[in-house]
Amino acid sequence: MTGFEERPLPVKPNFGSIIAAHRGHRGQLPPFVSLTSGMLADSSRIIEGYGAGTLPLANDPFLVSCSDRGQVNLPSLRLLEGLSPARLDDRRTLLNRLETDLRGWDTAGVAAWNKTYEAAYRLLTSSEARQAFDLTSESRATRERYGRTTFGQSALLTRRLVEAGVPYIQLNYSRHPEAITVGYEFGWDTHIMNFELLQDQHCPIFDRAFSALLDDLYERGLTDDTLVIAMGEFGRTPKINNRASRDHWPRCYFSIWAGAGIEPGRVIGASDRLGQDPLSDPITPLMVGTTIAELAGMDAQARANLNVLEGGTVIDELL
Amino acid sequence: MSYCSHQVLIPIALCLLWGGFPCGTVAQTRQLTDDGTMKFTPTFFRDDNEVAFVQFTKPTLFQIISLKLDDLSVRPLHENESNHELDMAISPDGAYYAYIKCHGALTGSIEILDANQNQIGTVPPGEGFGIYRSLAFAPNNSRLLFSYPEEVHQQIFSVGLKGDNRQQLTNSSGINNWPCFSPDGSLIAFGSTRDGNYEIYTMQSDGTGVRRLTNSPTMDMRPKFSPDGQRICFTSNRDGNYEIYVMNFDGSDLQRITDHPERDDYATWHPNGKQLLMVSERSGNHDLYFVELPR
Repeated sequence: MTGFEERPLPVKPNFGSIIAAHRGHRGQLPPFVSLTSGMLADSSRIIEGYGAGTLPLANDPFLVSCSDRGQVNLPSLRLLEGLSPARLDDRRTLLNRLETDLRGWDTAGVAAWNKTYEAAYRLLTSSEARQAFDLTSESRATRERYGRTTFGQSALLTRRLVEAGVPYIQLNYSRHPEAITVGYEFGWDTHIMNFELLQDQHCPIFDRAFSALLDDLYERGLTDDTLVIAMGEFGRTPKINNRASRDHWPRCYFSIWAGAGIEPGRVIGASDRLGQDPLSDPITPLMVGTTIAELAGMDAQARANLNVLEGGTVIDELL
Repeated sequence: MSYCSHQVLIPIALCLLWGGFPCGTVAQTRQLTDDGTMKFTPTFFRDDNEVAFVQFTKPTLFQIISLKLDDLSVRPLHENESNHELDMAISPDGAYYAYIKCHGALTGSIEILDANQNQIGTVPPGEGFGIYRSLAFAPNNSRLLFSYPEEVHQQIFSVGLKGDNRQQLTNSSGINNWPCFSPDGSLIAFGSTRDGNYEIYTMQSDGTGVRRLTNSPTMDMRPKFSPDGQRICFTSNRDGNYEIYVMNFDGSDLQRITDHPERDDYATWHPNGKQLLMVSERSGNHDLYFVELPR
């Protein structure tokens, strides 16, 4: 989700962080929201490339979770649970006093933390921001259309955040990628149970929520101004593995693009007969990020000014 | 959870012949749960009044749930269990049950217990990644069937109730899954992609005499023998989405039982042989339903 390999360091910024840095913090809501129950991670570590990388920390994603019942929680603000707006005001006053004393300290770090705190404060105290997270105002028919699943209701929340003007939303299918691991959410890393999980669980959930999201955006007149991309980090092995499933395959996979004036109903690029390698000129993750940025109003100069997506080119056939 | 007592009356469809299969008479249904959470593999457990099923309780947990039909109360079968539980099976006499228990990452065991939850046997996790699927008891409790992927393909195996004496029953390419004994123990119905897509087959209990029962270009899956052994219910998407069908044990007289634009799946027989218990998706909610079979 950065367009680059994890190594060598430093880890590059997530596409969403790049857009957040470009657009800046405007209004009540964060510029980059990641819908997940917590930090994206696998069984061994946090997934790198989730956030700001080489950009200031203020461009990290703001984490928001949504349950299958439409209950929204803010993992980023767990420390502030139970605080009323009035108590928050007290803390804000205390913080202002502390800042005076901290002026001599690392001003860049304080400034970054300050921006995050300000965003959190706005979220907790702003009725407009809280309204964006309130799924109970949606009709039952709309909520059912997306499906009573975590991903389904999160997709509905995504539409609301689009309407509220959040520039970049990363809707994660699950917090963890593993197919089935004790204590972890169920993801698409189907080294086992590939066919069963896809046909019985993941694809039905995804199909319902994704099609509902696209239809909903279209019906509300939001498609032209909203770019929607469904993609993963890599594909799966064309050859079945020893457990009748599929392993990682970064050499060839796909993404789905909609909205933002992109002409629909086309297939761009082709693979060989086995789905093993591209037949046409490869489209890389870096090109994906560069195209996202271009469509978001970041031309080559703007990207250079932020020192991001170096060497990236736009997917010309898409535009 | 509230009791949902409404019944859906669906007009009898005109009977049309298309592709050699008669259009099903769409049956009455009765909704049993209304929480909407994703559910899988329901089965009658201990007696006619209790059903067990796997529920996607929360994003980090598959759990076996017990449902009492007289008051529709639910509870986890294994309190305080934090490991994923999948694919519960019950012996026809109710004396034993088995389920798949996940361990760590991408692996699991088969746990075999008596009705009082005393451990009888276990099939430990295989080497490396891999997990067992689709358990089924022999009518005389002599064997337990399961499906497991090895060397690219997925085969059907059986073990004794202590998890011993493992025997391989299928040896084909593709995926073999959802084994189910006939009530007299002579036949096993199962699904297989050996001929290119999921079809329903039967074989003798020793794995010989494989016979194909269905022939459609889509997916026919999850067969279950009726209590009298004369019919098999199964899931198919031959008509565009997942629906429930019933046919004779030899593949003849195919009837479509459900007709809804959303998914109907995981059908199993009521012990009375007149109803099926299934998981149906309605308006994005996944709940248990009884469906009456046409006479």
